[in-house]
Amino acid sequence: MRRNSLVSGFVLSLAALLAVSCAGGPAPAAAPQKQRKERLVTVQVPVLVKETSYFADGLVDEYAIYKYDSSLLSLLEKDSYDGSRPDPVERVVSELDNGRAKAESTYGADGKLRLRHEMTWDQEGRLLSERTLDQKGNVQSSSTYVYDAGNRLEWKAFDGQGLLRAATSYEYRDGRLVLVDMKDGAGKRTGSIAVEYDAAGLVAKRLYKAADGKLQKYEVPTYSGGRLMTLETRLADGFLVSKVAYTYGDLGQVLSTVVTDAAGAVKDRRSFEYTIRQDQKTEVYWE
Amino acid sequence: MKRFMCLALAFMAMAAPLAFSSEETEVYRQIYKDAGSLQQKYSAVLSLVGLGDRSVAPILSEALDDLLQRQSSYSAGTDKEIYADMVKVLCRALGDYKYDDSAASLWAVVQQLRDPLARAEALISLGKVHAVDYVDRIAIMLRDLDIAPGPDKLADEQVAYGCILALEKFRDVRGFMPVFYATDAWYTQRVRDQAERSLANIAADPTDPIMELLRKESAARKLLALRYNASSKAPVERKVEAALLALDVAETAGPRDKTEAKALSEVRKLALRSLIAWRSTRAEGVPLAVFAYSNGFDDEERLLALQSLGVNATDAAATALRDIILRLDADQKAGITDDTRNRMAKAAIENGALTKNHILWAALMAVSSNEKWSGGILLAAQTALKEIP
Repeated sequence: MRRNSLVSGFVLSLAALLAVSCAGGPAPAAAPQKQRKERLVTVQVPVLVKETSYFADGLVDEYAIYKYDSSLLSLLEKDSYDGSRPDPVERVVSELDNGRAKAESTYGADGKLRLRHEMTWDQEGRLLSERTLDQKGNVQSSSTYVYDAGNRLEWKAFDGQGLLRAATSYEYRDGRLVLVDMKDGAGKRTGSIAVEYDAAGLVAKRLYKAADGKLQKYEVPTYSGGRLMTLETRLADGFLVSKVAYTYGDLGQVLSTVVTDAAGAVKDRRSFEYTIRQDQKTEVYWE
Repeated sequence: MKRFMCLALAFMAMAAPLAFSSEETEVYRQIYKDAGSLQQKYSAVLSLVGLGDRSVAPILSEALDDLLQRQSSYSAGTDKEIYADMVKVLCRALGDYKYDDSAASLWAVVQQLRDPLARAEALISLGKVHAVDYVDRIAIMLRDLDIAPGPDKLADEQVAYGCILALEKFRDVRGFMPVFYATDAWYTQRVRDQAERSLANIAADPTDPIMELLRKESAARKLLALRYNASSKAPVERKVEAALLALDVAETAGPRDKTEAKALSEVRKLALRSLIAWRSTRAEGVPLAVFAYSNGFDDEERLLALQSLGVNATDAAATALRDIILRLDADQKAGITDDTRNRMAKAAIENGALTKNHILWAALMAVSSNEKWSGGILLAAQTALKEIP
């Protein structure tokens, strides 16, 4: 799974967006005299079009341009530019099947294929399998995923020869992920991640443990209005390793991220620009 | 469920992801640690890099160190190829994550590996992580490459390309000189073009190296340096300083032949144009402009000199223009006349008007009362007089 892939580039603070998008609609209260009705409303959806990465001194390092189809629903290409070079230093081109990416090919500055990533999806739009191929078309790794009705249950990672290298299982409580259990290809535990939640149901802490259950590091988020504002990564003894701070736009879209180290020195700074897509949605109301 | 997904998709925006670390990072980190063969390590590294998670940078740096230590084990056949590819992937990722702790490892790649593309990738990443301790070393490396290629020309060019991009990213004035020389070195057009583009980004104020080039370089390179001066982001006062120096050195340099004389004239013309564009009022510009007027290679240079005096507008510039006008007027009265003199006289008068300086009054009166001048020059003098307080 590649979190910087085009597909996962779509992933966002969906909860925040849902909150924004659904605001204003009256709740379907039990009122026998009222009738259920529907109406079309226009929803503004931010669509990422540019990502800029800065040096610590604020000067631009690289930027990426995101290109979509005319409906702004399907990401077709991400071109990364660097300083004074007129041509993209990297292009990630998506191949779509029914609006969903079935492959992404990454090309270098020389225009040559560097990497290819292929995916399959189930009818619910969940990732079923993926594989990564090098520039010569050799499979380097692959993964398969298993789900129940709502959640991912298992992820298996294979090497280029198809040998199982890792098996990861997911445990849920009250519909929320609470444990990620990681094993190697031989079934030997290699570590785990425990997820704790606050009263509002937001992730309060993610604890990364070694095979013997000993805490290695943990992540602590802070929120404002349900939005992730900062995310600190600390070692088991509490030593701060890094901190990410986020800012948001009116529609809940991330506008900037700043990564700092233990001393507060900026290690990575990014900004994000969007265009707005107007979506029509059916809103249910009672009258 | 399907209905829910459709609804969710309708709301779904395409936005920047939030960055909780993930099990993928942990799993691939473990797979890398457990990997035995180079091929397995490479697969794991590709997966780790693909995660786009900055927290993997330390393990990528370790992986690079590990590769450097085991170089001799991977010196043949497929392993050699995978090795080079893996180094490139690691270097690129460490640069992308701006992981400055990896600077020593990246420099080790530059020094120890033979693969030119891997070395170039490491150089670029050194620039991306802003490892300024390496600016001098990379500048020297490029300077040496600029002079002449070694036996493997293509490899040298690829490394030079990496040096240029690294020096651009450092944005340190120490990188200016070698990148400047790369613009007209033996490289292919692509690399020379890149050097030109990079040069503009290297230093906010490249005036010092530009002035050094103006002092010691050939006329052709003086002109090139002056062009960068014109387009640099330095404060105007600094750019004026360099333009004045260019004018000075191009006037005092003794050309060996007509070609060099023409090249030096181009330097002077650009310097004069620059001084006009920046409306320089520096006193040093006056004698230099007078020299350019008196000894100009062609009429264009002499006209530019007059224009720069007009823009200068100081008492010294007005005095110089007055003297020029009076001399031309005396020649006219003595019957020494030609088209060039008429053109110069008109330009001197018009630029004299620009100074709005009373010093010019007597000279303009002399012209306007000299009926031997053409109607156009007399009119110019009368118009100029209206501008003089």
